[in-house]
Amino acid sequence: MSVRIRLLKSLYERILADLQRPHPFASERIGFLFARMGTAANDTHLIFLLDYIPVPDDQYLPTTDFKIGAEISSEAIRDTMQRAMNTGEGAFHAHLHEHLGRPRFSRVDMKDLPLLARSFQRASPASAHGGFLFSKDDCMAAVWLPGHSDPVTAEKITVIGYPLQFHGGERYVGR
Amino acid sequence: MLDDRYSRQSFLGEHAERWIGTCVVGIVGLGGGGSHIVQQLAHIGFLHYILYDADIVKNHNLNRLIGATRADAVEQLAKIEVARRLILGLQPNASIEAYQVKWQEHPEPLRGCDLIFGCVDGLAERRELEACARRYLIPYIDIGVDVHRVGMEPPQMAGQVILSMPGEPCLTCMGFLSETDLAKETALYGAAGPRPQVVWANGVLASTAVGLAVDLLTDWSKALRRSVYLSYYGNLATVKPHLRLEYLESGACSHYPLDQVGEPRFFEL
Repeated sequence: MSVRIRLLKSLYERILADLQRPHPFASERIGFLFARMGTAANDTHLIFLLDYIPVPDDQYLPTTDFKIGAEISSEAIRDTMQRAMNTGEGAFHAHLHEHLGRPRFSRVDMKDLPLLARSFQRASPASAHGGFLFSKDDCMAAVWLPGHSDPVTAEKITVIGYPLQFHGGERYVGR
Repeated sequence: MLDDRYSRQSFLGEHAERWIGTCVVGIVGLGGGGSHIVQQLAHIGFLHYILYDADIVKNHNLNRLIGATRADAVEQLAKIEVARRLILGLQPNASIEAYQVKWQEHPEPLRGCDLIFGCVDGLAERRELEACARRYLIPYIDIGVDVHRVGMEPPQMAGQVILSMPGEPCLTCMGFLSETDLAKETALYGAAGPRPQVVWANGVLASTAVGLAVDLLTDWSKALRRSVYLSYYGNLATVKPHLRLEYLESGACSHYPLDQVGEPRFFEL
């Protein structure tokens, strides 16, 4: 079983630009990606990212825990679940680690992502959900397929545009 | 011994070999055009292939089918086997999934490709292939050539190479496909007779298409930034950008909206 993700370059650039905007007090930004699914041969699951919604500034919460880059209100998560439920789309939490090269989920990410994915699965059980982690020039994704309680790391994330870019492939491990 | 294998194409960039070796390429149609493409991709270093062609090698293919021999025609070898032999001769470790069927009968492997070459006959077939590529967000490169004769004039040889990029103008936007031409093709179905094909014209178009694919993957020229529609005129041996391109708006395609991407879904009304 493998998971491959595709998105247009215009969307990829929009995500990177948004996640690198400074926030008045949070040290990183968060957004949600919405996706559709497809199937290919050899038990390959295809995920197509089609839209990105940034979390509005006023839905960030102040936090004193230095391990947490940003904390968002339940309203932001509720809105995402609502859209997933209404449209049947998959929902992916997205954030960025400010460096070049392959990013890795932190311990906090690994603790929180399964909880979030489970909530999204309840809202839209037939879709794939999960988390996307970007660096300034790379990305990876942990994907919870429909009916699965454990994530799969996306084997390949293809950015469709000029030029074609291939990302992903490393395992869902913390640093 | 093989360390310097790609040294003559090192201008493609530091990571070119990796991107080329990672790309899963689909080739639909392994006749005059597709056989050239397969051979060139294997030389360049492509390692992952999804191949489709339902046909076998016949005597009348030998004027243009790269890699085919007289013995293949006698044995009626499948065209996919000629392609497989070509690839493995250059890339013994290549992964090859080859299907001796029409791609529509077994489309799942095609959906996993990163790039599709369409070397098919007819407009309807091209439209179906592009629709599949759009639905699964796959860049599609179409090639084709035809020879027409009008009255006592010399035969006119013309063809095209088109890069159809998801989210950008499609074959219909570019004016290559139209309902009128599709209807004409349907009306002539079965009466068109054998299509004239020659190896040199196929070679020009296939080489141009492979060049586009390599540029798309490596960005070596830094010049490929929008859809491509090249017209080939065989009588004068020219390949030129089609005039339609000047009037196209980048990023605008009403025929394949992004909300149709992914597996078809059913909604309750």
